[in-house]
This record gives sequence, C-alpha cells and structure tokens, in this order.
Amino acid sequence: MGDASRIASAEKSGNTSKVLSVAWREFKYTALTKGFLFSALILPFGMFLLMLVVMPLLMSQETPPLKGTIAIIDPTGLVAPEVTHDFGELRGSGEPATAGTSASSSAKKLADAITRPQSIDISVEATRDPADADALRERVRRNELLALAVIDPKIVSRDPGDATIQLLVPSGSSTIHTGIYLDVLKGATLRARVEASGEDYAAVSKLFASPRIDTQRVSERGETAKEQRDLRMIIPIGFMLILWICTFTSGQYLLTTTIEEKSNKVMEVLLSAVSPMQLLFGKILGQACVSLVMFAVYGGVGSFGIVMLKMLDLIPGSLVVYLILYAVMAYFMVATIMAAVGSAVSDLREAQSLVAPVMVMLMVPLMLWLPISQNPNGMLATVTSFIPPLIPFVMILRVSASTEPVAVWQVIASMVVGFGATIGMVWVAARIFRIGVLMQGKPPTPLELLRWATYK
Amino acid sequence: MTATITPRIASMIRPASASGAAIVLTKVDKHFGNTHAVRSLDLVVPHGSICGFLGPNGAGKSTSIRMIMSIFYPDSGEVRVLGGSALENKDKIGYLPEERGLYRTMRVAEFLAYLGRLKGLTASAASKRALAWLDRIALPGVAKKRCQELSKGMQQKVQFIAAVLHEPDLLILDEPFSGLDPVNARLMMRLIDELHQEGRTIIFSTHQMHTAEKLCDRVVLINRGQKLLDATLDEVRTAFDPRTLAVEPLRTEVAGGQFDRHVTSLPGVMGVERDDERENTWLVHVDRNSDPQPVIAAIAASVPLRAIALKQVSLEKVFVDIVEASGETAPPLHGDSTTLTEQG
Repeated sequence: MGDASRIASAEKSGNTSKVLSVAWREFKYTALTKGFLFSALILPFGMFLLMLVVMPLLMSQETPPLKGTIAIIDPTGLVAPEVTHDFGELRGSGEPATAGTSASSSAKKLADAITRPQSIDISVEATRDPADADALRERVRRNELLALAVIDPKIVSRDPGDATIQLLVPSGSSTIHTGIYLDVLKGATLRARVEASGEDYAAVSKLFASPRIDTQRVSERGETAKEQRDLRMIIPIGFMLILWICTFTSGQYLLTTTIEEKSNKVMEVLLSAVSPMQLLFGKILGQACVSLVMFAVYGGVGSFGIVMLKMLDLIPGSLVVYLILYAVMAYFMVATIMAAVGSAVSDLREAQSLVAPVMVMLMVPLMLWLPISQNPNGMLATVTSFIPPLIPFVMILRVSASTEPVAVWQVIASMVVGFGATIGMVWVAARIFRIGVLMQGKPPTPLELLRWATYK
Repeated sequence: MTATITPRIASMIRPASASGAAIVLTKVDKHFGNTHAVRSLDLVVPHGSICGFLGPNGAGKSTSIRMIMSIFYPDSGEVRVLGGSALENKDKIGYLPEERGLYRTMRVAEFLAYLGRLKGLTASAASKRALAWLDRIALPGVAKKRCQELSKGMQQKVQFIAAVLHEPDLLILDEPFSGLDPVNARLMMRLIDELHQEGRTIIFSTHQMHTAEKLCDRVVLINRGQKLLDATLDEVRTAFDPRTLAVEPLRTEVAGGQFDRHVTSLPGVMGVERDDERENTWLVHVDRNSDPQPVIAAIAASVPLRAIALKQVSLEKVFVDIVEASGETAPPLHGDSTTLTEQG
C-alpha cells in the first residue's frame, strides 16, 4: 500500500471516528439521562396505566346522582308500571338489576355501557289523562320533575307504525340521565307491547337471544386461537404508533440538540473540528440509536402483549422485516426534516412555525388509521402510500392490517419511492444544515430554506 | 463603500513571501447579501510567525478567519491553509471562535476530551491532556464541574484549552483576550507566547493594541473588508516613526535662555513642545531629513538631562491614524433579513 492510500485510509478512519464520537455524545446526552427515562419511557407507560385504571375510577365519581320524580302520561296503563318496576330495581346503590330476561335488561346494558350515577332514586308519577300534559310540562320547566314521558297508545300495538314516545327533560338535564330514561322507556315499552299481544316476554326474549359464536383463528401452522376482532384492530395502529412515537421523539431530540448547539454558540467550535456533514450524520446516527432504544422498549412491551393474547400468528416474519425497513425510512425522513429546521432557527419557538406544516401532514396517518386499516387496498390507502412523508406510516398500517394482503408490487414501489425520497431529503437537509448552522437572526421562510439547498 | 487607501497606507502593505507560508489568501471576496464583507483580500502568514489581525468592529476579521477555517467559503479567490484547505487540515488547526460556546451541562473534562477526540486524539490522550492543561492554565479542580458552573473568564480559558489540546501547528484565536481580567489576560499572553516559542504559527484578532504590540511579529489591519496594513512590527515602527525625542531636562532654565528656545535653535530640530502626558518633559520634533542621533548628542551636550529617548510609535496610534485616514469607523451591517454571523 502506498503512502497516499495509507493517508487516505487513515483520514477515512479518522472521519468515521469523528462521526462516531458525535453520535455517542448525542446518544449519551439524550438517552442516558433522567429526563429521557422519565419522558420517553416512564411517562408514556404511566399515562397508559392512568388511562386504563385511574381514569374510569375518577370518572365514576363525577357522575351526578339521579334522584327525583318522572311523570308518565300513559293512556294504555301498560308502560308506566314497567317503568316503575325498572326504576325500582335501579333504586339505591345504582347497581344494575338482575340479568337474564328480567325487565331491567336494558337498564343493565346501559349500566354496562356508561358510567352509572353513584345513586339512583326515582319515583314515577303516572297518569292516563293527556289533559294533564300542560301542567306536567310546566313542572318540568320549573325543574320539579326530572322528565315527562308521553306515551302514544299505538306504541304497544302489534303494528306501532310511526308511534312515538315524547320525552321532555329540563334544559339542564344531564345527558347521562337522559340516556337512562331512554333506555328504561324502550325496555319497558317493549315488554308492555309483548305482554299486550298476549305473548310471554321471557319466552320471546329467549327466542331473540343472540346466538353465541365461538370464532377460532387457524394459523398457517394449524394452531387455533380465539379470534378477537377488537384486539386485531389494535395491531395496525399499534405498529404505526410505535413507528410514529419512536421516530418523532428522537426527531424532536435532534431538533432541540441542534438548536441548543446553535444557541450555546458551541456550533462554531464543533465546525472547527468536524465538517457540517460529519456533524449532521453523527447526530442522525446518535438519535437513531435513541430511536432504537425506544423501539426495543415499546416493541418489547407490545410483543409481550401479543404473546400473552396468543396473537403471535398475526405477526408473520415478513411484517417484522417491513417494520424495520419502514422504521429506517420513517426515521431518516423525520430526522432530516428536524435537523434541517433545527439548523436554520435560533430557538424552539421559531422552529414551531417551520415544523408545524410537516407535523400536520404527518398527523394524517393517525387520523386515517381506521379507514386505511379496515380497507388496506382502498383508493385512500393506495394513494397515500406514495406520498413521501406518509409512506412508512401508511404502509405499516396496510401491511399489518392482516385483513387482505397488499400487492407485492405496491410494497416494492413504496420502498423505491420512499427510499428515493429519503435520499433526496437527506441531500437537501445536508445542504440546508451546512448553511443553517451558522445563520443568526430572523428565521428563514420555507422558500429561503429551499434556496439554501441550491447554494454551492 | 470602500476604505480609502492613501499612498502612505499603501506603502505599508508589504505581504510576506507566500512560499512555505502557513496561510495564503489570494484575492478573496465574500458578500453577505448587499454587504461586501471582504474585498479582494491577499494575506500571507509565514510559518512560525505570530500575526495580529486588527481592525475595527465589523471590519471583516471574523469573516476572514471563518474563511480560513473553511467554515465560510469565499465567493471568489483562494484560501490555502497549511498547504491545503482547512477541511483537510482541521486536526492541525486550533481555533478559538469569537463567540464562546460550551455544552452547558457537560462536565469540563468530558467536554475537553470530546473536542480532543473530534480533533483526532484518542480518548485517553485527550483526557490526560485536558487535565494537564487545566493545571497549566490555573484551573485546577474544575474538571468535574459542569461548564455552566464556571465564570465567563473560566469558560474562556476552557475554550482556549479546547483550541490547543491537540497541539496544533496553526492556532487561530478570535479575540482571545476579550472578557479576561488583567491577571488572566497576562496568563493568556504568556501561554500564547509559549506556544509561539514552541514553533506554532499563531494568528489572532484583537482590539487590544498593546497586547498585539507585545506579542506579534507581524500585523495585518483591515477595514471594510479591505487590507490597509500588512507588515512586520519593525516595518510599521519604521514607517510610522514619529521622529520625536522625549527630553526631560534637569531644569528648564539653561544658559542663554529657556530650554525650548535653546533646543529649537539646534540644527535638525523642527520644533519643541511640552508633553501633556508627562510633567517636566518636552517633545522635540526632529526634521524629517535629519538623523536623530546627532540631535540627541547636541541636546545632551548642551543641556543637563534627567532623560532623553527616541519616542516609538504606538500601534494604537497607527491603528487610529490608518482607520481615520481610510475614511471612517466600522460600517453598519445591512444585508438580508437573515445574515450569517458577521461581527469581525
């Protein structure tokens, strides 16, 4: 080996060592800090636990008690007793009435669906005379009655047609309470109608009981597991959220550390030792490692959940490969944008105006996750799969949807377009970074940023 | 607007030979928007020299230094540092920028070791040298402190260490003495002198003329991006020789009348005036065509003296004279709404 090639080799190794030094500092001062441990790891899990456990408890305490009188004008005399019966069962602790075919099944469903009031104590004032309507209506207006229900006599006939129950509540009535009245009235009217037609409600309701269907999923290996449709829906959004959180968190760190280096005036010291490109790639590499840590933690927790729910058969090996490839694509797209913006501004406030449009665009997959994951080959999903900043996020939703396979050519095309765009973005960001790191003063407009990219 | 170059100023642009020079700038131009920051600058800094880079605020010193460092690139012209570009020779160059910057939460030793690694040192060598330099620069016990805990002067000394840690061949210091108290300024001067004695080439910008006078063997003065002076200190002193004697007689009354009248009558003397700065001292102006030595001898022979000396021009006076002769003080910066940092 000649002298020249030895020198070139030493320089190359020196350059690599500088990039690695920058990357290690970036990683150390981001990931090995209490702030990171708290904000990127503990806080999200804390929030999750809060939502899962604490929030329902807190919300149950906030529902107002339901006490007072409801008036019913029931010319048939059949509905009011059923209503009285239902409220009687709900009275006291607010516990749901007994299950099965009892009159209170609707109230129970309600109780299951929403957070119930701490206590329910309602008396029913029934009358058959429609002439009492005005007086009762006045009492509703004066808040003396919780509600007034006016029963159309035809509503208990075999053919109720357009018959309607009119329910009047004070304008300040809680929507939760109104929901309870509605549910009780519906259940009571149904029972009254069945009884009026001479049928046995208990027998009829058994006839109409929904059949139980035990769905089993058979994996490619022939193993069966209980199909959980709701949980399956979580997989695409789970994958996308992991991608989104991990790339954006480290992207945000990249933005703030770059701004910090500018505002601390340490940038010029660094540039006397490394080139802007070495600095940029070192920072991107360091934050990529931060992102990797987050992937490992969040992905690990997600994988544990998938194993516990016996849904591992829904995560084929190819999906993991896609996740890695799209994660690399997503990270470089987000990181280059953040590094370019960070280099061009002097503080976080200035950065917001430049980052905001990008953030809005990247929120699109979050907003469209349901239609895309339900119909991964639809027009919306296909089109958004080829818009560069959205590609990795939309594609991970599509390939993990597991409802219908995405055409291989589309996966390949999205990779080609996505990585092509990523290379372009890295190139543009590098040129902006080179100019931006030494800029002071008023922040540039997006057009000025693009102009920097064309400077020699 | 350009600086006016009078014939006398033009005579003081005597660049050193470019062969074997540490820094060579050839016809370098730099614009920021509408501002012409550096104009056709030619500069040669010989190897092993210590060069003062002088000029009023906004003259283009920092911009020139940043172009030397390849942090900025010239619009036209050529910059060669240590035979190549600064990018190729970064590890052989130490740089103390005008705007001091440290990682606030990083510990001092760690910060220095980090920059040492970026300058091509191994981690252990960088750490050892950092600790040695902290002792040398009178900052013991700060190694484990966070940079934000240091005073401004201490931070500046830490940055100086960062610039010299890797033992560079070329040291570029932008305002190294600003913000330092007299004790630390003196320490810094001593260290710079020691580094110069070790054979390093040093270029530094400063507003402190007396410091430049003490340290430099060469000075370059620029204003409005234009070079107005480029010469060795001896050349400057010769060219700006005031041809004035400071004379302190034992008494003002001499045989034949008063001191001033007597001395004015001597051959080669143009005039005599009292020195406003020193009591009982007279300034004797020697004719431009006469040798001061016979005049000194004639005064000493005819008047009992306490002291007599040929006055030396101060660099500060040269600076002020040249800048004023060139037509003004520092120009305001007005360029694009967004401007590159330009304070030199």
